[in-house]
Amino acid sequence: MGLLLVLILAACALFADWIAPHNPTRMAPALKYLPPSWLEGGDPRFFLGTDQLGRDVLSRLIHGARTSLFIGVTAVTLATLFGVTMGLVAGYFRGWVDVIITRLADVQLAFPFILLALAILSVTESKTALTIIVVLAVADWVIHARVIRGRVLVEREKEYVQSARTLGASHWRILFLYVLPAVLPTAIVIALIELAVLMLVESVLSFIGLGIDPPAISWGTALADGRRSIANAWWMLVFPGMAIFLAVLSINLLADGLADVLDPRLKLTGLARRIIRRRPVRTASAGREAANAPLLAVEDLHVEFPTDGGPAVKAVDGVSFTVEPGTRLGIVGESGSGKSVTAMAAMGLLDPAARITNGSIAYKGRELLALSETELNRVRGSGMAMIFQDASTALNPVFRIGWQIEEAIMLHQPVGRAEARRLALEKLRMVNIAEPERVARSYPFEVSGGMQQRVMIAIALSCRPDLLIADEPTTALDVTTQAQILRELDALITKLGTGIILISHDLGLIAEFTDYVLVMRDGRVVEAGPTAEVVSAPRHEYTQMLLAAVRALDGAVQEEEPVLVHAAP
Amino acid sequence: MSDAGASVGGAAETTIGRSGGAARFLLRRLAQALFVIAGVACVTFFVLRLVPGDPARLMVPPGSSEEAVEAIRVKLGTNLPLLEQFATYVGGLLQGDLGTSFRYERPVLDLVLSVFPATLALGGVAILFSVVVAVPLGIAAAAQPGRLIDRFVLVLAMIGQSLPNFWIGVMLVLLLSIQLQWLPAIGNESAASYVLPVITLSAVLVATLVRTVRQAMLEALGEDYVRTARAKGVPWSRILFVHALKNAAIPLVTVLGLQIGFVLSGAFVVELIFNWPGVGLLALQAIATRDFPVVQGVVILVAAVFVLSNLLVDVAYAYLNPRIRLGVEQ
Repeated sequence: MGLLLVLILAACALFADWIAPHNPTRMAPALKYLPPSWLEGGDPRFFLGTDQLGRDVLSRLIHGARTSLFIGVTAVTLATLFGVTMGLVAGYFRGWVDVIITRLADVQLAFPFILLALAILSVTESKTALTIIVVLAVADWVIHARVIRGRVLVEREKEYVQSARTLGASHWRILFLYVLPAVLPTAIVIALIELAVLMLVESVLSFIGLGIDPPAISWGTALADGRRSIANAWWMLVFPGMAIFLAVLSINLLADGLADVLDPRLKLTGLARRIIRRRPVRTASAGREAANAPLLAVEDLHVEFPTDGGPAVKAVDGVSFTVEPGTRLGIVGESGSGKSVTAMAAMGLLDPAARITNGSIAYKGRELLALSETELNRVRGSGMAMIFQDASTALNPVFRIGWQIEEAIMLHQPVGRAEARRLALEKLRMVNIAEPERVARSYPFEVSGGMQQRVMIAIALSCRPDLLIADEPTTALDVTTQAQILRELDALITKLGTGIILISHDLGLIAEFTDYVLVMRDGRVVEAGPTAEVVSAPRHEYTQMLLAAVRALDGAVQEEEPVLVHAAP
Repeated sequence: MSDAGASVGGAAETTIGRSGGAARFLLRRLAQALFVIAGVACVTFFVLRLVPGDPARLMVPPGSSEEAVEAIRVKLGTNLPLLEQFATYVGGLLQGDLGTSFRYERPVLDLVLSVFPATLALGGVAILFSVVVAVPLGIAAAAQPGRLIDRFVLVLAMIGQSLPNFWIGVMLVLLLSIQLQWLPAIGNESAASYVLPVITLSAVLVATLVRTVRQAMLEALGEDYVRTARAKGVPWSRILFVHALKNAAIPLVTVLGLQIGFVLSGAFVVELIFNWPGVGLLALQAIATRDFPVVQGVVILVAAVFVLSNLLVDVAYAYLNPRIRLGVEQ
């Protein structure tokens, strides 16, 4: 669509002399202000009417395309050549070259462009196409330079550049043979976007009388003429504006289409990520009696992820398990085994693309899959809580830690702000934070990773849930902190009587901290049972493999030592 | 407890550095702003002097004698060596003297300041209007990506991006002022006279902002902390308007800061169309009448306003983003 319009536009520009029905500059005072041909008083020779000097509006538009496109394309080409070179040099060599170029760019960007153009164009005696092109290019190079510099900064750290450097390739060779091709798609998309911008600017300059001098024809000048004749010739206003709009729109559409292929981050319309809330799933199984129901009962759970074209990936394929109050269940498996997806499904936090095709998840006998989002929100955070792998991204960076705990408390308990604040401090103390007042006032990035995970635990346990799901809660931390946090967590849930599902790829960890274990692989449970039994006498070969991996790691330190004894905290 | 001890120490350190970080940040931005204004003043001076073309010759009627041209040069001071001119110019600037208008025979500073409020009022109302329109639309689009409202917003943004704002202006005048006679086409006497100029000036801005809001909200909604909030049982509306919006406001403010320049540029065109007595109109008239000290003065003052308003944006940015406020990140 965009391409077609751009081609028409280019054809108009190239073949203006043949396409245009009349000489665009021939004046005929007798024929002035003729309306378009389909209106009363219109002359069939002048399809879109005539202007104040009797010139044909259509012919002027077709010739105007030539001026606008020529100025725009030339200016953008110059700006791109210079800007991309500057961006490459600044991004690749860094150091003082980079400082000079970016400072220069900053100063220029801090300066509304039209002022610069006004200043220059107001003192130039004759405004030829060249003058306008130079002014536009000077104003525009900064944009190209900045974007390309950013891309080069990323590109230069990549392996292929690093290895070329190790092989002793010269800087210029690397820059033009390796880096330039990598950033070229970005440069092309930016050039198209800027072409649209510059064509708009050119028309603005012409409109305010600082454009190219007559007899050259510009759409902006045509519109300025139209404004003066606003009371008696609306067609002089409507058509040139339409021409500018369509030209710019088609270039923008083309740029957008190209961005899709070349560099999706530059898409004007942006990336459409689907964020659709989960919907209740109707399942056949009715909940058991709440009185003797287990804390969590997952039955024959199937979760699928659709793929582009191919068959859906079965991430969870018929998983069943139960968690009784106060017990610890471990789910172990490599990444992609479906252990996290199972946990997310239980919390109703699955990726929007995922589909639960079958099964039942019941919390205290209540079918969670049938609950609406609002009903589920009453369970999440109060009955079931979750802590995640990376606390540094799981906490909201722009709210204070105290606020984030208070929010959880106030959502589920009928307390005021002051009481919530007091409780939040209590929770921080509970997770062994020495100075709760100070930490509560801090933002997440102000405290260490171990502290962030303690805060997550404080949030999760703030409303005394019966079930805590911990998805690789310590993987992002260093080894000493890992063990310490897990011991603290273990002591806490023992004291509070909370049931836990601990998800990990580390069978050693699972062995130390859980009573029951599920071994998962490819979305299925391959082995399940009391942790001590599974660990001492694994039946499935996959479990034996996982176990061997743990032994191989630990073996170096403590040979033949029974690693898998349930450690007393 | 080695970990907790270490991090409490870290927190103490940042707390001490807290007010210092913010002050340092603001001071640095202020220094940068002054640097940019100085740069603009220099650039303007040299551009006006070095671009081929003699202002004096442009100011006299064609065919005037060489003496007449020379007389103008003396009056302008352009007969002096460039560096001497520059020294006089900088000296004047430091005392707040931007020269005297030829046409009005008034100090340029007075002249520009007398019309500035009109431009600021127009620009301010336009920015406010754009934010009020764009933010809810952007949030609505991001809340249901791919749905009808989202598609509508994207098409709207694409069209707005491609429309020449002066065309919107003249078309509005044509339809609403001339054909229907609903709204005044010129001047700034009544509240009604704000309607058309503000719409004209806002059209492109709304398109840009709505896209920014949508994109920033989509990004925020894809972050881990949104998942945490859902795990806490936070209702969806609260996730949208509290958790995600406060994060999305950071890129929004950045883009808004950059757009102030476009609003000021747009004001030139809009003031011309609606005969709005602001700096844009003054500058265009000054260009037409070859009143160069006024052109120069407008450029410097508008640039200064732009730089200062960006400074305000930086303050807002720091308020929204604690990492900046506390001087943790540059």
